[in-house]
Amino acid sequence: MRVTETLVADVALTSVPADWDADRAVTALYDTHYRALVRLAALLVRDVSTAEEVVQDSFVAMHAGWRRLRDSDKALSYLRQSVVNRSRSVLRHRVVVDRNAPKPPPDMPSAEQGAIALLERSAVVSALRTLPPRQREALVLRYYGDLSEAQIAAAMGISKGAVKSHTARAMAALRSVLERDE
Amino acid sequence: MSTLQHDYEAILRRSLHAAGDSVEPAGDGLQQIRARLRKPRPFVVAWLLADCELARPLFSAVEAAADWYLQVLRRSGDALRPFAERFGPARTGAGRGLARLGWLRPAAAMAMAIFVVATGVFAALELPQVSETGALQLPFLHTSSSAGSGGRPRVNGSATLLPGLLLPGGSLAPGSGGIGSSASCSPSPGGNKHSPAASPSTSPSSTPSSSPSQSPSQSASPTPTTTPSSTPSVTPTPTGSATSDPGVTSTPGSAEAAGAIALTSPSPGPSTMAPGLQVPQPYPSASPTPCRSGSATPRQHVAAARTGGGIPSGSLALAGPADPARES
Repeated sequence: MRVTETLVADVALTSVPADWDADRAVTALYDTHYRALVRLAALLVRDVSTAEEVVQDSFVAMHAGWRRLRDSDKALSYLRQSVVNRSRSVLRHRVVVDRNAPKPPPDMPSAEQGAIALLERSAVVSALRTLPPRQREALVLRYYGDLSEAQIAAAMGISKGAVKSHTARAMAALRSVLERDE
Repeated sequence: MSTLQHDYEAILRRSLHAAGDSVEPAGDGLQQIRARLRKPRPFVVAWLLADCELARPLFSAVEAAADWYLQVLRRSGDALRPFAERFGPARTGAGRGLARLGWLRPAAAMAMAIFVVATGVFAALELPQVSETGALQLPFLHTSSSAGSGGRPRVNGSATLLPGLLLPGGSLAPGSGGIGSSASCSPSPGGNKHSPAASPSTSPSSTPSSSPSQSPSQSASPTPTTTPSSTPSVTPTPTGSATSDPGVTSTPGSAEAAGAIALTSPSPGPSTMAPGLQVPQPYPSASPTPCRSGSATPRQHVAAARTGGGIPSGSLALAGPADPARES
């Protein structure tokens, strides 16, 4: 199994002293986890620039709440939860915009479709788009972020049982989609 | 079934990592985050930076100086951190919420020290002290008792002495020291000066005068005096004609008593009455007078004359045998 950047708090992050100020903590967390968080957000929102904005907003919010956190593990958990929530808000807002915006002509691809094209090269990712948002979040956090059920539950704001349920239903739906496409 | 499930999980993981690794964020993410953390520039500064070419290097220099100043402040804050942790509240549990009130502790300590010092000074200056002779000294008696004549405690705005600390002769008990100034408590040669009723010179206003004239202070009193005429009338209306009347002359003696008697005594003539013999009579008895005087108005007399009845009851005594012609 290929091990890539993980969102789990690693040894480098636990070395962040608790008495650091917010600026220094933001710098350390940026160097360690900014890229992985942007990729996670990109998988959720299917847009790189939007994913960057989401992660940067999360860092700004963490900077404001650093006095309350004062812990690298808590800060990383806060960042994950903030990214998931903001990605959810972006998708919700996007649904509203798509519902009210005038539809372009069929022969003229939109900019969003151009940005998503990079992520839809595989059939799995295409099948992932058909899933409900909660199931998609659970799968991304489980199989891309390599998070445990407890961490997924903390990031999504649900219970561990709900995480198991979302993951199982998402896998069943994804398998049915892939088997149907085949 | 589980093998197929594991296959799907592996495929999903591989696909997600491949899609995610293809995403490469921009390199200026940290600068953008810092720019968002920084407060927005004022409108004037933004306008200058946008329009004025000279303002850009100037503003960049100011920003560099501000950054250096903030770093210096941060270092000084790190240096002062032990002091703040020493006097500040604990940052664990509930004490974290009170971190903003940490400066109140030294302030409260300073206020308590000032209060203790002020209390000590007050106690040293104002509380009763024991002199070298062992007598009790009250500091608030020092100023007023020295001005008194004879050392007698005065009532009106003067010092008052504790009654148990005075001997009947006005002197203090031997060996008891003095209350207030020692001069005021020494026995005076005039004998018992501590009885103001027997002293003729208690105040300038009470100086007895043998002259028939009355003092202005006495004449100014709005007392209902009667006219000292030989025909006393019963009109209780106050008149000012008694001010120079010798009948109200005060006699040598107590001025207050003379004044009181002069207010109520309807002396019929020049009074040489001894003090104390005049009995206050608020309503002098009406004596029949031949004249028609008093408070009976002419209209009443006319009405009585016209009806043939008597004079109205209020003026019956006043009328009397006033009109000899009518009696006849």
